[in-house]
Amino acid sequence: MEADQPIQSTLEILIGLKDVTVESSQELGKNRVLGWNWSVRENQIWILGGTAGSGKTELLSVASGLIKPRSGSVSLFGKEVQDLEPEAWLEEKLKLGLVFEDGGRVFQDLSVYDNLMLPLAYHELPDTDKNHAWVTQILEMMGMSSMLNRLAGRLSRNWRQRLGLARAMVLRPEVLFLDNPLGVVDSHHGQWWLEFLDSLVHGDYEWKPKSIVVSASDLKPWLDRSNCLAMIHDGDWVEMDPSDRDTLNRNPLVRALSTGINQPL
Amino acid sequence: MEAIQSFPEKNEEELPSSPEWSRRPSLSMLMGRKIIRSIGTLHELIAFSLITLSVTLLKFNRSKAVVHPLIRSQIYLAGIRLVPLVGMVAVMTGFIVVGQLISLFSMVGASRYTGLVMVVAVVRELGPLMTAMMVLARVGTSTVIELGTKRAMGEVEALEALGIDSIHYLVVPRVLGLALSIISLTIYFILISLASAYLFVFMQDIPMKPGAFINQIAGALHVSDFLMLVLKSFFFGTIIAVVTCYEGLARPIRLGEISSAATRAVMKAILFCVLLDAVFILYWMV
Repeated sequence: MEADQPIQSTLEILIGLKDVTVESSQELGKNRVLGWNWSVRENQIWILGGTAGSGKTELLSVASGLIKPRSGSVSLFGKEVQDLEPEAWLEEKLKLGLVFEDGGRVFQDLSVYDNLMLPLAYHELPDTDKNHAWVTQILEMMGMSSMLNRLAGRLSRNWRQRLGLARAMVLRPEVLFLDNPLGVVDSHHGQWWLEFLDSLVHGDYEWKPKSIVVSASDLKPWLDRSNCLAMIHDGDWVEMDPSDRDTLNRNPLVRALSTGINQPL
Repeated sequence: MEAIQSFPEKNEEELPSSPEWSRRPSLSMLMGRKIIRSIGTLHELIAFSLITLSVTLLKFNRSKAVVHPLIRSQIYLAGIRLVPLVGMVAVMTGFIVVGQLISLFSMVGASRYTGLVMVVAVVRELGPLMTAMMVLARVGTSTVIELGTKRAMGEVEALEALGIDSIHYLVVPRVLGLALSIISLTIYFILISLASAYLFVFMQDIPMKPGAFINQIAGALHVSDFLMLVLKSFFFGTIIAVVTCYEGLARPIRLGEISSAATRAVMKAILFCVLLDAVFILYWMV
């Protein structure tokens, strides 16, 4: 991924969150995200850092249109979500792809191929041959061509996480959200993820998202690959420049999440 | 600040302890809580049913390539696959219940009531209710387990993230599939049990020709019986599907809670089916 690009505030805002408060998914009634403002712009590669339970998943769920915030407003591609009719909202939502953490939440009773074909068939995208070619191409990109007919539930967590990525890509979203993608994968698969995302951002494939948002509890693999960083801790939201190593080094949470407790970068 | 200091907080030890009787909920409190909880569940179930109905009506022709094969698959699972079981129970019902009733009637010289009894016992009551219970046992419980597992594993959120309406994809095929299956299986059950009842009569050497047997049943049947039979079976199927889908899907669930959700779903489905049956009995009595 390109780490050297500056944060370009003049670029189009793809996703905007204003004064957003989100309820915890684990403790009902408790707010995790408190009155945050956040914009995701074109060409930005965001890293959201924070410890487990800090609210990263809830924030990604709101930004990707999966859940509604308790208060505040969300805009997708310049349109306020609350003003959109269901059909228009769905149209905007399909421009967002989300990869869940902890095994990708794949459809376990469907084959690998059907996991990818389901969204295409459900949304009645025309041209079956093109869909088939696209699915085959994605599976090649994932290194999963030989697993076409295997049941997703029989895959290991490493491959399920990769299938989760493939499924999020199948509708060619403009913004790709990755929720702690390296959380459950081993180092070999982790290396593949980083190399694949580097290639994707460099435009080595037919499709490239306009922006990528990654949540991570280990910042080390991501700092050189991002151009925007936000740290989430105890309901606080702090935006930082990932290229400013001095500032990062002074932040104890960044240090703790990057190299272990209190080690310099 | 001074005011706060002048009224120091009491330690827990200093607070007067509440008497034992006030901590223990009374019978009326327990019943009250139970009733309020039941009303809440009923309210949620009605809301879930209305959402399912609106999605069925609004999206029936959308995503046909995905949803219509799922409806066919549910008809196979809840209908065709249950044909042997329902047939076997229908034969036993015909032999044990109806056949014995007929032979008893002929012994006391009340053969002319045979048709009426058959219609009341088999067509109006046993047929729809027993078929619904068999489908509930075989398909209803597996529906709760299947959907509960999907909910617990986060697959429902994954569907929503891909813009796939989980009610449209998971609930509508089950409601339509179960309703159509129960209608077909009920008709099948009635035909088999009547045929086996006559077989019993024949084996008992009771003087009743097949023509007379059919005529008696035809004479006791009204047009409303056919209409009510279809309506009753349809609603039984809908109740079973909605209740089992609701228990599996509507609330966040952990893997360990799925078995108790399945038990709850079975009990609720039986209760609602029996209540609906009572409504139909009222119609026939009036």
